[in-house]
Amino acid sequence: MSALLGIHDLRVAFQSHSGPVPAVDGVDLEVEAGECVAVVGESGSGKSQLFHAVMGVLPAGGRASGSARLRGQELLGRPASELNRVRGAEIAMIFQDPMTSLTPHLTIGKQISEVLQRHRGLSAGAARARALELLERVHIGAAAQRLGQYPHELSGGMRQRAMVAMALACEPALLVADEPTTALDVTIQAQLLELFRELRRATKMALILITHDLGAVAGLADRVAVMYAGRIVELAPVEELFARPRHPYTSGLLGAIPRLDTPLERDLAAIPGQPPLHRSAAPGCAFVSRCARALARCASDDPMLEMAADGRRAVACHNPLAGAHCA
Amino acid sequence: MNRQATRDAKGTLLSVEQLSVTYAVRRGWLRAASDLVALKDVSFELRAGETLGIVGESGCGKSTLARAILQLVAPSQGAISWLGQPLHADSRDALRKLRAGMQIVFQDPLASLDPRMTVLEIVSEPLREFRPELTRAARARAVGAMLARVGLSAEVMERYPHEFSGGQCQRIGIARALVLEPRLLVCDEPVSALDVSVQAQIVNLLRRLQRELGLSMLFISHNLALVRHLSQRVLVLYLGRVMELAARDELFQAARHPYTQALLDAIPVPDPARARERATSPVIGEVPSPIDPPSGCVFHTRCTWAQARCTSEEPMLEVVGGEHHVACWRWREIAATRSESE
Repeated sequence: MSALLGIHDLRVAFQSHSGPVPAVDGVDLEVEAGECVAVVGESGSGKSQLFHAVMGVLPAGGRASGSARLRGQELLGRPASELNRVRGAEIAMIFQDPMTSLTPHLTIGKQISEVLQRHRGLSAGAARARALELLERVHIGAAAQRLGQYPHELSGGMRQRAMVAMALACEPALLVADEPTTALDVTIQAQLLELFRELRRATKMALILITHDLGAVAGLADRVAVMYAGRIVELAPVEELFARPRHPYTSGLLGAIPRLDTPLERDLAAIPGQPPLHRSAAPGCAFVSRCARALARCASDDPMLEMAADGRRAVACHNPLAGAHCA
Repeated sequence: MNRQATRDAKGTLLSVEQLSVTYAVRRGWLRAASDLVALKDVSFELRAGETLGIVGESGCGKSTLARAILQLVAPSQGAISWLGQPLHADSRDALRKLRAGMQIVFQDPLASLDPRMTVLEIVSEPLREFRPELTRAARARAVGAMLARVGLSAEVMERYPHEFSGGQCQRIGIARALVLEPRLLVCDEPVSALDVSVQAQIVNLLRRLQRELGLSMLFISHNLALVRHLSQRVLVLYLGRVMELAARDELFQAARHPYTQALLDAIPVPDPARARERATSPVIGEVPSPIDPPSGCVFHTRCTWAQARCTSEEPMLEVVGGEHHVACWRWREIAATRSESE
């Protein structure tokens, strides 16, 4: 059986005055129906551009190549009119700042109804009733009243819930959430993560969670893809990634998160240096300058993402950490 | 630094008493201005060499508190004392002296640095202002030494902010804040704009600087796990009121206020098995508007423990034991229930 979403050798480059700048540099990733995959990376990792390319919403100057197939249908390079039939109905996406995707001069009810009328052919009345159901489903208080409100009248957390409601309108097979909780207060972030957990239990929708916050995905994701400088450097089931990270970058990220149980006498395990703004043309591994495990060959020979024999996890590293348990 | 300061080294550096800050806001041009109470009756002391963490969500008043201490906004009530002397923003001379003694590091590292100035100019600016007797060469030496302390080489002096990453800009901002050897460093969300791997570097740097220089810090953050890493005591704010004030271990092991507990429960557990089995459901609702705060205890609209009294009477901060203070009518019952269930 083929995957719900199959991404193959996807590349994204942005035009700059000094030539094309690579943002995504050959990503392969399959997402199964109903699965939750977290795509984790810092700024410049290309995690958002990857899915902006899949959704056909790259900003001007960005070019995508390679392949992204939804149920076998190619998405890349299709005209917007055709993509619009797929977007919303089969794949939906929500963004960090809901204000960029909500129309400021239309009420919340109107915006959700419009999706239902266009994609599902519902009558205005039926669409409004369904919109109300959707707002209740994402636990927006006083939902009937919210239908008549404009986006600016809602709080940040409420807007993000409204976005989720709109994304759910057509019961998509896949929801792509791009840093959905980053701009929110911690208690609201926890509420939204709980909502995602609840939706995953209640629907068969697959979820791609793009985030910089490894900690936030632990309780939600089935698998995690860690990106660095435009590539996936490690891919693993969530338990294994947290218990036995194999890429030094993954292990570094886990060590750098302050936890409520980190010993206080010790410093946090910071990764030296900075994440690169984009992939450089230099040969070798992009992480080599920050890596404590670098070998001579890492500077010249670019490691490829290699699947382990069990077919469950992959790492792109010449000197990965052993499978031993890491605290 | 005056003699008095040295003698008081073990004592209280900063004392905030019943501080309130109110802003007038207009909600429409025809409507009369109404009051936004950004801080209400906030009291605490900061000891020399101590780091006090200040936590809370948007609208809790944490940035207003920093600004009031730095005399950038005028309090509507209450008093702030520095080394035992009350502060008044009306004396320019006193204010100048004070400014040299307390410095701030901002959240947005790049925006807080003047893009037209070199690193040398940025970091030496406070010296030009407050230590005019220093020669150009002496300033450059002081800047070089401070840059080394924050982990930057002297080669960066002739470069401009845009040439640096966020983490490096934050190091430059810290060097600028510390070049006058202040006693107090106010850090307003200093790492929230940085990538995780870089965040840890800056946290470690602040910890080291605090140790080496005997600095006092106010570390303002929405991230409790970060605050735990840097602070000896923690102040929890909600809608401008103090909910809880306690020593670090006390707060993290025996939080008494339901809001503090809610903040602790909201921290994602970076462990898949434990994160899945965690039974606590997140606190309901959102932070109400500070223009129109709830009656009684301001947290009652989101609190599972709230009862009639909480909606009508505002709880005062009371002593739980030792240095632990909480503002909750029901903290005793909550504590009893917790110790039973454990």
